[in-house]
Amino acid sequence: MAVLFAGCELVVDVDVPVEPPVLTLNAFMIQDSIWSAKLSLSRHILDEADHQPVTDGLVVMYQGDHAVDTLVGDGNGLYTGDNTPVPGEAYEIRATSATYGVVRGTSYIPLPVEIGSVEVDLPDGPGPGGSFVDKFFIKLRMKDRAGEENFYQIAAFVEKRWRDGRTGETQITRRMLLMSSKDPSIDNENVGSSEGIFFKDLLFDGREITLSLESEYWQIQSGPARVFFFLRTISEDFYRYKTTALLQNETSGNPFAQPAGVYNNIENGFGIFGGFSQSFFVYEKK
Amino acid sequence: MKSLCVITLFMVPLYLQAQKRTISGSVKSRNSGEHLIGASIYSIGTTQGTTANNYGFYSLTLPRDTVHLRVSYVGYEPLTLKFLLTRDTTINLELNDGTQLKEVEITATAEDPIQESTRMGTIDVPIEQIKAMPALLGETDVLKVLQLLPGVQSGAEGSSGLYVRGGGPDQNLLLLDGVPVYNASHLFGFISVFNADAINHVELVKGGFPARYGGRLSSVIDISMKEGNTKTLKGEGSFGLVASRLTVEGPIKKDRTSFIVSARRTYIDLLSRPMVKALSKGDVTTGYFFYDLNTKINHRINDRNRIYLSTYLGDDKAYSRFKDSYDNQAQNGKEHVSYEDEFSLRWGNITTALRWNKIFTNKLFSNVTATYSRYRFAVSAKSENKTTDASGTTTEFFKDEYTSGIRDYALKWDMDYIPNPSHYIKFGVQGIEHLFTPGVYSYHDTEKKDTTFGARKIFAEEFYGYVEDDFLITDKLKVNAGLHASGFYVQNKFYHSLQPRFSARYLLTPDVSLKASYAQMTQYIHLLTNAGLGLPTDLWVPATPRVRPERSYISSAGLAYNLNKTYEVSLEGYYKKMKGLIEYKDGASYLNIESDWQTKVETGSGESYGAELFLQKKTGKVSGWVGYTLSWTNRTFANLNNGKTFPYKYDRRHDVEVALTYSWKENKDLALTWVYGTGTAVSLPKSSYAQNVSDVPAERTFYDAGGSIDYYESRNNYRMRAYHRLDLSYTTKKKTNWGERAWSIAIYNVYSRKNPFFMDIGYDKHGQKKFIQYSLFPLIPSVAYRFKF
Repeated sequence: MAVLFAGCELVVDVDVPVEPPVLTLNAFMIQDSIWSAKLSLSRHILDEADHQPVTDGLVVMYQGDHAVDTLVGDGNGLYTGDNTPVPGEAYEIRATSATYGVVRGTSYIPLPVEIGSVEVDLPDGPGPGGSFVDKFFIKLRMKDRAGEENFYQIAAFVEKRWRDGRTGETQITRRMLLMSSKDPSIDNENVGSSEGIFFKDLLFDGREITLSLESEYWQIQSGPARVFFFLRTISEDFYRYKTTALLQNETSGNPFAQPAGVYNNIENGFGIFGGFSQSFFVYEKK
Repeated sequence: MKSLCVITLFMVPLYLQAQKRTISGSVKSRNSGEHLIGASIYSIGTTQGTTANNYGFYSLTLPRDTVHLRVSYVGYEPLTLKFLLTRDTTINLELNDGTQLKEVEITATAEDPIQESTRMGTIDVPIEQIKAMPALLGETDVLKVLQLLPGVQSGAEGSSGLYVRGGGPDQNLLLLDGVPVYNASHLFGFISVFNADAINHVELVKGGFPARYGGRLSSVIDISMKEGNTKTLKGEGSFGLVASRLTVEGPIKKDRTSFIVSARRTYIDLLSRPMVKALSKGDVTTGYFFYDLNTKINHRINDRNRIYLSTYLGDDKAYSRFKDSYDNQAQNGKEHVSYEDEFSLRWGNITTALRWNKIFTNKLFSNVTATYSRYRFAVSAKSENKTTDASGTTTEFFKDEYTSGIRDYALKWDMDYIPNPSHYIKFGVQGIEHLFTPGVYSYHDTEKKDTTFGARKIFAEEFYGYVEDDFLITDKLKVNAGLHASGFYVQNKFYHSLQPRFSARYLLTPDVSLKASYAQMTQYIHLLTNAGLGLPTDLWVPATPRVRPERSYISSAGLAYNLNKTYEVSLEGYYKKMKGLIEYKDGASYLNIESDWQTKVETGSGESYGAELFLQKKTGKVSGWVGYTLSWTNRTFANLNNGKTFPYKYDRRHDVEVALTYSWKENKDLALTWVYGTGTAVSLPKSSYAQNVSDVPAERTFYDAGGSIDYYESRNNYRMRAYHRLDLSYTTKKKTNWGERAWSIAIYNVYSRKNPFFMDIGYDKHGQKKFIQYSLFPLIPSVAYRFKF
């Protein structure tokens, strides 16, 4: 049978029209951070060149009809401003290129929600018969704001400090902590990605809640470490963009999966304009 | 005086009725005793006639007079009878097999001439024609032959899945002796479970559904098994590249009780096992096989009562085993460790039907059927480690298994009442108890932990009743009108539906009729399918309080033309609207047992419309058909493709099928099939754009934002290359002193067309980024040896 299936590849020319590049605007509003945005060009799907940064753009932030900041380019497509967004407020971003026109997007930066507490339940020792203990458990307490649809991201990273034997200096490494959850309060759609856990308050609107999370113990097992837990309140645009982008990444390369389109809220172009606020909690592992 | 007139007026029809007499009985093959389903019985010189039902029973009421009857069935010598009809008469008719005749004599008319019948979108294919068609790897496949009919799309290359008039593969009711078969796939969909040697009759209904059918939106494929030769012991079989099969049938008591047993098994595993073992020095065993077994016993209790017991049992299994051992120097001495890992994937159906035919009167026929159907899929892995040292042997093991399936018990009562040649009334009821297990995961290990979780078992009760009348209003106008009422009770929710059915024909000339039909259908069960390939992993799930039933509304109109009683031509246009369709959400996976399947699906609607042209010739040296379909099929889901309508994956604008057999000598057949279809719809990205955002401090951006995002303008926005393929087969037969033997040589995909299976982005030989199309089957020759005794 294997012989029969040999030679079954065929390079085909699909008539994907060559369309002019389109401006791509990626900008996240982050609480306490200055405005920043990246401007680049889209490319044909079969083109392998890097996405070309747009260096001659004009990026301006608006609140209502008033310009609140003009972002300055660094020559590599990164534009930064002087001011910070105010949580709870909505903004518009406009990017203009003499060659590629004007793109715009609107979004808001949600108010932060504080982490009430974090409890980490580490295993006491090896499992029965010396077997490998593979999980540890986390309980994160928070209070949702009532009467509005809120979107969240919970994520964490592990920070380890170690002494470099050659230089004698203290080095710091940070690595994402992969987590998952079977908590019934978390709607099941977007649990456990490499970027944390994304969810809505659909099942606990306005309530104080303790969410159960779990993680693989090997990620923090050896030696002392600091674990930074983050609770982000994210705009709906951010939520839709991140969840669909992660889905596209997961289904990529599976010929039988229906490819996932990624959410885009940039008018006349591609990209995302969203916002988030965050609170964090540091857990010290001995 | 006035009262007398009124009484007289009422008495006239009764008097006229009293002047009529009924002929009834059965129509069988003289050689095998097999009932001839759909045989035509009509009175020469009148327009009155009837057809034998699925159990060979017929009833025809005619005036007391000299009667000149003609009985015919495709492939059989027509029979004419002339007698004086003075009283109700039972005549059991037997027709001679056409193989005893010269070829030119086999010109029997179709069972029910196409222009006469009220039915639309209904095609029956003679089983001998199905067996004569070229087949992939030489395995005759009923469903693959049905894919060659207009309005039926084949789905992916090599798959036996059916997409009828824009419907999905779950919208086909596959009945084997009246029992639903839930997964008709062997070999991951490349071969269907129906063994042609065990089959007597195949009928496809894709529109104009009579009221007796229900439960699916798009088609009914009604397959009747043979009943077993009641005259003599007979057998047939074949040896092919992939599988061999053997069928034996004969009388247990002549003309009273008969049996048939038909078995098939692949031997890829038997052939490959020694090679795999040799290459792995005996450590690895791997293989795949399927088998199926059809059995039936048929017993005539007396002239009015008959019982049948039929079963189907089939399984597919893919497996691998690995074992090894080694010696280890442990702290407390030398120890010997041996371990064995096993993985298996298994799926299969069991169906059973117990039927009781009873002729209550010469106008009233009853059939009671009790059925059982079960489909089960299981994937499991287990591992066992044994460590032996001075203190003894310790064993550690684990086994995990994922299973899904559906099980039905059903009881059905169908009645045929034929009061006179102008009416053929059918009515009946059915009740089904479903048990769904849409995905259960269990885990056991050394510490005897038994963890079972996943979807709960769901029980549901489905029932329906129907009544229909095939009513000759005038010589030209005949209608079939009926009502199908059904209900479904699941998780304290009751769904119900009233489904009117109507079809009519109007004879423009004796050979040409105008037809129209309308049907509403409701489907209370859904199939969750990731790839639409008919894989065993597809899950059957019920409508629930959260996921509603599917419904369809089908209208069609057309012309039927019988040319010289040799060619049947039909032209039909149709429009079908579907609601409550389900699809997996983007990226959802069937094996994610931690979430309820109901959270993984989207619901939406669909529509399909088009026209089908069909030219069929059932008899003669050259027989077969040519079909052409022009169609459009779309889907609309609020949460897919931004709510915009998109083409269905198997939306196929043009579809052409040619299926011909040519018997230029009594013992030599040449068969040809050629298909052409517009390319499958596929989602391809047009462009890509940057994903990365900004370089803010690490504490704030713990996400790894990089890479690029592919931009899909819309779902199924491109078409793969057109599909076309030519298959040929040549069969030569020879009579022997023990029966007949035949060699059959077939070539699948004669000109080795690289038909698309799927597309992806890759690199050509120059390192250029390109779209790469992957194909499955190039030219595949096969040979099979067949025999009959």
